[in-house]
Amino acid sequence: MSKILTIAGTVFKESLRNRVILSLIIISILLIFISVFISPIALGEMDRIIKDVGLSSISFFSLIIVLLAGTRLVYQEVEKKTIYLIITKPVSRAKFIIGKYLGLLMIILSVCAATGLFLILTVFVTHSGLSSNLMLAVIFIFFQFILLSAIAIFFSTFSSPVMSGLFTILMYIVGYLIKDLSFFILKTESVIVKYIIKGIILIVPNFYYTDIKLQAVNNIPLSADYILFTMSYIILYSIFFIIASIIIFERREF
Amino acid sequence: MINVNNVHKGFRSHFRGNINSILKGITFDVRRNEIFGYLGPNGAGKTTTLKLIMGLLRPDSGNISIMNSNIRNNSVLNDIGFLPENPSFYPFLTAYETLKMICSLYETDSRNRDDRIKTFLSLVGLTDVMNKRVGTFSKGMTQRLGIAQAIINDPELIILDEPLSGLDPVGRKELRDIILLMKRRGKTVLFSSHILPDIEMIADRVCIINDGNIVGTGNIRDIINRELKEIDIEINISNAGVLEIFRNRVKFFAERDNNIYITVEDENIAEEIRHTVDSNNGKIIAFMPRESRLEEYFMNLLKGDK
Repeated sequence: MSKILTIAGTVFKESLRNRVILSLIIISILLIFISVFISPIALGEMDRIIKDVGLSSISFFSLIIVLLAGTRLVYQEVEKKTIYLIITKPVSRAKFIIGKYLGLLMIILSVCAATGLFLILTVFVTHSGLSSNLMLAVIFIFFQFILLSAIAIFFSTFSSPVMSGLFTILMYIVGYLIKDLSFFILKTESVIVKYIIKGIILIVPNFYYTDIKLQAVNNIPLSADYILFTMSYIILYSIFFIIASIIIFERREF
Repeated sequence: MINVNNVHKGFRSHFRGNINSILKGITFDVRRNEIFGYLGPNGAGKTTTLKLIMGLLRPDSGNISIMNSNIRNNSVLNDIGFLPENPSFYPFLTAYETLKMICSLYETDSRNRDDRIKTFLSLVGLTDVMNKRVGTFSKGMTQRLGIAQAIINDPELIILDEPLSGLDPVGRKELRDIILLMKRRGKTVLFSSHILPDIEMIADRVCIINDGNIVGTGNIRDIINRELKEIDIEINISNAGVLEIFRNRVKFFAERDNNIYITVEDENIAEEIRHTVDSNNGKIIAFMPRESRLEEYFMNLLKGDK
């Protein structure tokens, strides 16, 4: 476990020092701050605007990190040959992938935690209706990116950062459209299209489960079963993608 | 220590393309506590061989064993230090942090880690820049750090891919000293290079690869002294005519400024000349056996291979 943490810590330390993360956190906080001043324009909707802008900016900047860092994490190691530093030591390739993944999660956690705390603080100070749902929404965003990071790592084990980014964002978009795709199966008459869509639904995780912005903004309570189901769903899917990444990575030559 | 047995390796030029054979059945062994030089021109297959030994590549056929084990067995890596060709590091970490990270990847005692890191930084001459980020390092400094990370765990076997490249003459001398120090400590060193004089100075045995084939292996002293190539003789003699009988038996014969310059390829003829000069009151000004240097041996092997 200490080797995994060493690799994860290195990913985190490197990303902190290249200041991209810090810049993203600052921009995200600035957006939340600005939302406080623009919210009075929307009469009676101040609470909604602050929460909406806050949660959206956390999502957006986490996505940027996954696309910028996650899709390059493994590929760059191979390209720049820094991988030789690690895998020629007594470190299994599985530990290498898990370490890189945990490092990426540490980065996203720091963004979600810093901006999430600022959002909660802003909502509290502006008396915009602080609720447990808001905190849950931030946690769910983090969970969403636990999965998306695993997907990004998976693609980066065999494709270039551009292609990995493209595949990852495609999975993210399709993952949000699964509800609509399910509806489309009922409408279409083509058997082939039905099978293709069923295949997509089977492989692509449903990101819609993790999107509880609406509930957070409108203070709609969520059941414990739903929370538990969504978290388990995300974790299982993430494990699936990480195992697939390890299997591919084990077969690779450098 | 290392056994490479009939190893073949090829790469596809592109997806579904023809396999380009890089190694064509190479066989050699590295013995315990020796410095083994692996030589060859660029593109001969040196780096591919070392990557196969380190398990970064898989052989198409043949087998490799290290310390009677398979490199895929992770625990073997605890006893191996590896320096890749043109090593690359995380640019935002300092030299100290880099070695600290490397130490954490080994299954060793973490006590005295700080002292160990500082000792090795001092050994490779990086003490003054230990807190500088590696991204700011020159090629030579990066190479030195690469060497430190390869030996920091006190491994039994040290594999260095082109360790002398990027180093200035002082750096090369220091690295040669480090390699010799490792040997004195009972370590085994396998290193690839195309800087032949350096290999000649430190290697116990060498193996020469060309175009994916091993074209020569042997003890470095045997190679250098295998045959006396030529002897240059400079003679001062008043009666130069007595040496005319050798003119057609030697490689080079010339008279200049009352001196005779002869180059012979046969030791017996050289002795005959010496005897003739002595018995005719002549004087041998210079008698210089020219040794077969590794470079000549290397070039001859490559020519023969072609």
